[in-house]
Amino acid sequence: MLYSHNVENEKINLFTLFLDKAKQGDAKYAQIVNEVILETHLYVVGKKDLYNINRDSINIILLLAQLEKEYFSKLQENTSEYNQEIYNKVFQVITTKQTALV
Amino acid sequence: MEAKFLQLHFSQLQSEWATAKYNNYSDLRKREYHEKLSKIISLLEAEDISKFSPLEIKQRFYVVFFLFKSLEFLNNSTSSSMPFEIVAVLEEALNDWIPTRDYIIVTSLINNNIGFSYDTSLMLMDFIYKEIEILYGIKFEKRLIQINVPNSTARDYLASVVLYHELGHFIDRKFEISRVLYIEILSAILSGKLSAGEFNDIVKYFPYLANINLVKWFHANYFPGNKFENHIAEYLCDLFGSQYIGEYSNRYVSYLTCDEATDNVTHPSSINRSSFIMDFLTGNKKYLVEKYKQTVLLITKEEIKSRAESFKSEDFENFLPVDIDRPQQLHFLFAYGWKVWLDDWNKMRAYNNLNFDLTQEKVYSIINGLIEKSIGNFIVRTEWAKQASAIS
Repeated sequence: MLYSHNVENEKINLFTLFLDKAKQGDAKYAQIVNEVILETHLYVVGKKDLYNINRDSINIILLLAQLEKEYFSKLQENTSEYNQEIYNKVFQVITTKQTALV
Repeated sequence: MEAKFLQLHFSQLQSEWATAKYNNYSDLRKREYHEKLSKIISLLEAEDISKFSPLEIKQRFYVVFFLFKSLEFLNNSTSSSMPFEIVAVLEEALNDWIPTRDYIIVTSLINNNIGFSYDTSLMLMDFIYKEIEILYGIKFEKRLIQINVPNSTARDYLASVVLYHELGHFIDRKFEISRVLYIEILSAILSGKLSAGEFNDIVKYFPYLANINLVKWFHANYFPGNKFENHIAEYLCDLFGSQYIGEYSNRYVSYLTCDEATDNVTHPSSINRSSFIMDFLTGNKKYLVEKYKQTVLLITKEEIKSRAESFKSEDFENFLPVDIDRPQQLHFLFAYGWKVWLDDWNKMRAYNNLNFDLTQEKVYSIINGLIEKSIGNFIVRTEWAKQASAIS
């Protein structure tokens, strides 16, 4: 094979791309990103579990929950409160993990 | 990312599209999907790639990737390449788990004659569909499930039993069942609360989990495609398939792998795979099978259970197709076909006034033809009944 193509990593890459657009203030991407951030919060505080968190984003949710459980536990459930600061934090968490894997 | 490389990528796509745009599909849903691809390509052609920012280039990279992947499978899915009968039966199985019929099964024919597999590329890229909707306003109501099938056995209904296992991979990734089992099994071991019998059952099928350090390592270091996750998924897909075709897929796989007794990174041993299925088929309430069943139910709200409605027949022995009354009986045609193949064929000789030698090649052709005919007759009758009902 010419290069490795791992679908789960591509998913994270796409999510990172969406985070980038959300950071730039694009509301359509922010809406999608907010859903993942909210699911992560609900998972770490026990309001959702492994059986009912979003299936498409489950690996991203579990990764974020593993890396920054306390941070996500403190987030609000009102996604209109999610802002640049949160997107920057999530972006930093994911890209640090990706760099660590390299 | 440089614009010139995106321009190259898109030029490659345009070259592919120059012939693919004339594809002909018997399935209306594929035609509609194809039309959406055409619209996206037209919209991409109207964009000035040379002015894109690096982020915009990256976005279009994934769009072009999506288009290529979609064409890869649609190109092989035109009316002549794969029997619609096989796809129709798999779609009935799919409907048990996803009744909204949001997915289209498409197949890609490959040269590897044991290369049955499932391509997850588009399935896992929910973000790509969202990206396309945001960028171009095009929403895909139906999405593609892509299964790779050997060219040599594309019309072989006996070999096609393994396609239920492959469909299981889609169900697994759709609901992320293996991912949950990964956490649950490791957590159960680490809890120290398993009985000796329960632990032994886990270690029977995942022998390397006898090493507690490896258990801890797997728990702390999940990454896609690791051995433990791969093995969980393979057992799950065998279990999924066995709901419809019993033991026959695993018996066939055991032959193809020469009763492989050792595992590798991607698959457990064939012996263990067969043993796991028999735990389910014999109603043996072993810990691991019950854990799989429980997890599937909690996530999907559907049970792992026998889903093929059996029937008693000697139609194949009489060289006749079976009159199928209900969709659930379609799956049993495969088990019936295998039963006849594995028999001594004396009934076929006795029941029919043969003026030719009943060679293995002829029996192979007869059984495959009769399974196909049985499915085809059911589909035609069902469609006629629908049309008649619509008119009256």
